[in-house]
Amino acid sequence: MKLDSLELLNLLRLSSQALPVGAYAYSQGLEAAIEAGFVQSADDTGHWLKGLLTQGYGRLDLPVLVRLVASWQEDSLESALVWNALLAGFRETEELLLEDQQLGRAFYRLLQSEENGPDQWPVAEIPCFATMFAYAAVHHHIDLVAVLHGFSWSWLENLVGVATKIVPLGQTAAQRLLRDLSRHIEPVCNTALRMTDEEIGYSLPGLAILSSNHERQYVRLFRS
Amino acid sequence: MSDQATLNGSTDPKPGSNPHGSDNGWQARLQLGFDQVAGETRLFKLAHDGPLRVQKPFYPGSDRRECHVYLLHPPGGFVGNDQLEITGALKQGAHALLTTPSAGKFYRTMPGRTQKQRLGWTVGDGACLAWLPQENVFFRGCQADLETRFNLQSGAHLFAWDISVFGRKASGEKFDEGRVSQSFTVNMDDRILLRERFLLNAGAELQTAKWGLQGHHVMATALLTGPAFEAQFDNVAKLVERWGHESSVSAGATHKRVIQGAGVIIVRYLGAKVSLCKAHFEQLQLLLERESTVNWLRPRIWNT
Repeated sequence: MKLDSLELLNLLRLSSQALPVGAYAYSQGLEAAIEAGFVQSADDTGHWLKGLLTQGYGRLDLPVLVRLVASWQEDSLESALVWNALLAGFRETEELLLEDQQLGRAFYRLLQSEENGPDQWPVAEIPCFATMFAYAAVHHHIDLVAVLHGFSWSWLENLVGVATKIVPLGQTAAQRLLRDLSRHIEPVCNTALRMTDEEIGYSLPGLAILSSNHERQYVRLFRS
Repeated sequence: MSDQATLNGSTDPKPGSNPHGSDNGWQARLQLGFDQVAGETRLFKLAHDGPLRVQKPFYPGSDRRECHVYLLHPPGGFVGNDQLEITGALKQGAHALLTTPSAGKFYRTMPGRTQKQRLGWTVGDGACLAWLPQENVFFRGCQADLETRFNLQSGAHLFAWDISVFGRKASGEKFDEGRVSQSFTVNMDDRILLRERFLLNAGAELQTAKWGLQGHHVMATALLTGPAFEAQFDNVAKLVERWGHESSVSAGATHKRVIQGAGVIIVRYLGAKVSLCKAHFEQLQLLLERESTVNWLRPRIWNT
């Protein structure tokens, strides 16, 4: 992994919670898991996120991100659209699909406003978050392994933020969780780099049921 | 010689030997085609190869609009290297309901001797497919690999379910050895509505984790697409919510819309009893029969 100064700083910006795409509004089923009593402590949060990182996110979003980066590097809109459609197809529920598409749209508008967006992106297609993240990363020439790390970090930091608000966790416990969970990012990225097209994808029935029921949860802070 | 010599304590050996008498397993293929002429759904194409049979189609209603077909699963179930492929097409306006009279069984085998099932359906505009097979039972030590694909034209209706049972709990067998891979694809006009890829390696965290099977050994999914079915989403969600009040059941329903006009209702179910799961899914069928404008009659075979 090798980055020059601007590449590193752009990666930090893209991976930051301050990126104005609205990620803070989503919990990816974590709010529902907390509501159901499955996640009640910092330890539970750590187990939950490690499971999702290795069995969910790392088996779909990361290997697809690898391919999206390649698509944009080759300037192949056609290929980017195929992987984008696969991401949407694998979203288990309406709220998880909307989350991905709303983040993707906001990211697209942000890139367009910076005047370096994917102009050729068809109006009728809704970009997923990873599709736009890959586009921006390729635009800034960021190393693939670093892109995977930054992308995973932003996912992790956002969800630990959710847990901090509603489990709730103290700031110190949250930092400890981030430090401990960070250790899993490198192996998950390495697995993603090795996966074949046929191996991509997952199904986590418990998460999908929680998210389905979250769509009709009476009181909720998060949109997923 | 089939795998039965290696069943090793399994109590349900397949009756009779491998019909092909070889170690390569049997390969069964079935092709079905339905069309609709003057309000009658006809099974106009039926080709099979290997140990898989179809009972004579029948029409339970007062007219011949809806055709019911029972697929007789291969003799006893799947041993190592067995392969089953079913492809079917419903042309414009055809209405067909397909089911099986008994559970599919995937027996214990050796790693690498994969038991494959491939299902592929295409459903045309105005056509309606109800694919409602009995459950698949995955024996401890099986090596099952199942793929199911539905290609729909817009204006098609689909009601499909899949019920999986991991291990035979009634006889004290846990699914602590073996592998099950199951994938689903639902496409509409070449756009992906839903993809799932479930992969269970016995002993993995997936079996107990709350994001996974939550310790349950019955997992089921029902899929509904088409305007008349999707209009019933609120009723479906209320029904599914009631199932969740049972302490042994975890269930949820979502209406996923990839783009305007292309959606799928997905009902997911985890439970402790396959009989309860089937009773619940039949309530779903009755609801659609009662409320939706696409209707059919309950297969008589389920009453026995």
